[in-house]
Amino acid sequence: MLVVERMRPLLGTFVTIRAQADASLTHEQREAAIGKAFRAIERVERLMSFHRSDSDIGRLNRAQPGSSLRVRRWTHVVLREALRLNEVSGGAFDCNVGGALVRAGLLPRLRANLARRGLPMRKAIALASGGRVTLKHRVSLDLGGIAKGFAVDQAVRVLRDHGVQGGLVNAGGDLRVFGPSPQAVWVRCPSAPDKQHLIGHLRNGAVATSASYFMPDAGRDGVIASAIVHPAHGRRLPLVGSVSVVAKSCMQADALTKIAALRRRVPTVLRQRTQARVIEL
Amino acid sequence: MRWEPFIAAPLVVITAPAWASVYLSVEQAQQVIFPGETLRKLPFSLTPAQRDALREHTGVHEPFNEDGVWQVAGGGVFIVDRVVGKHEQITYAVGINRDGTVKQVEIMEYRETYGSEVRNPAWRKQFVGKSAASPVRLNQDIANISGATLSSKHLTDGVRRVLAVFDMALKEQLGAGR
Repeated sequence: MLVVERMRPLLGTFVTIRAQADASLTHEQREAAIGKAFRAIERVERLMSFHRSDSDIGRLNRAQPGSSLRVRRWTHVVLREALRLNEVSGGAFDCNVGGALVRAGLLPRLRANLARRGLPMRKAIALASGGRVTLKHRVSLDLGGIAKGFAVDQAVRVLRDHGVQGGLVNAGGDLRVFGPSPQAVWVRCPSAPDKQHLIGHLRNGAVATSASYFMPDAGRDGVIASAIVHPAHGRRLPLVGSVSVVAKSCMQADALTKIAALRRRVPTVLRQRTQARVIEL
Repeated sequence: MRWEPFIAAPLVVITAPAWASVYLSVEQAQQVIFPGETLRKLPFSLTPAQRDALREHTGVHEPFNEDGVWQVAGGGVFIVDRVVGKHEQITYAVGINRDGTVKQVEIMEYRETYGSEVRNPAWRKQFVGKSAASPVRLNQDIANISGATLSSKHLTDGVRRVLAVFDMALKEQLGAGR
């Protein structure tokens, strides 16, 4: 079994891809598979970045209430999952919190007059057929809490489609392992992120973690807090430890860390659907 | 999905450096970014004025690696440079297309650092003589670390500086040589 590992700066962080394949794949085929997996992640960044005004999300954030925009299929998929999680979590998971993150200095201010508290995303937007999104109110969507996980899932799908038998995609801590053998999974110690705890062995699943230890020392609001915004009052959640979620897909794991951090638990219906486990350090 | 939690006590903990890995040698990075191309090392140096201008415009304080510039026969440039961030030291390669756009960025070596280790000679010494053939590895699971997202801003600044070097000094030199 040959193992190749590559790292590139994407999604504002470091993305590692490890591909294990036997001799049925040539060197060129393996490199091509890794290259295509990175391109899938680049595509997610292009479509869903808050920073780019020409991304699907950038266009939605500039659009007037009442308008209906067509977005790419991947964006539609992520928005659909985000809306479903918003509903099932009783509003704990909400992507319409871009305004609060801009005020905290964690996202760039791309337009004036941002509401501190956006409406719950399920009240602000609706999905229609044909890849359309209808805006009922102005929005400030940030898919930072879910799109990284989706990107990891897409990269894993590309690797498998190209004959890679096992490996890992890790986007700055949101990771998914695949292949026949269980892999050790480590989580950084919140009090000393240069140390890691072994939390278990995972086969064909994902882990994501939310924590504050790599946050800028203090936001513009003077608070050392996480990048998770409490949708009820628009303030950021202080997070001393770390919350990790193991789930089937990385999109689920990524999003569920926000719900677990805010609610201290994952709603039963979600836990059953995603096989989620919460690990707090 | 199959999850087997590790419940033995005490918890297994590995210590600094959190993550140190060699991904590509210079030759490997060249072949990954410019497959099949012939590259020629380009003698290159910046003038003091250019160095000052770079520092001012990009905010990167480490000197640019003037010994890491290659010209690609089919057009374009391959550059190896280094950045030191708050938590990381990175050697990376940038492929630049003939038109000055970024073709690809690949990380060649990545080391997480937390201040104290960098000043510790014993810690630094463990990397001496390491290459892609003898990767720096704590164990094989080193990439399987979940945690908060580490920003790649320093690297982004580094890539911006590489592009500024291209604009300021290389574009002309290559244009004149053609």
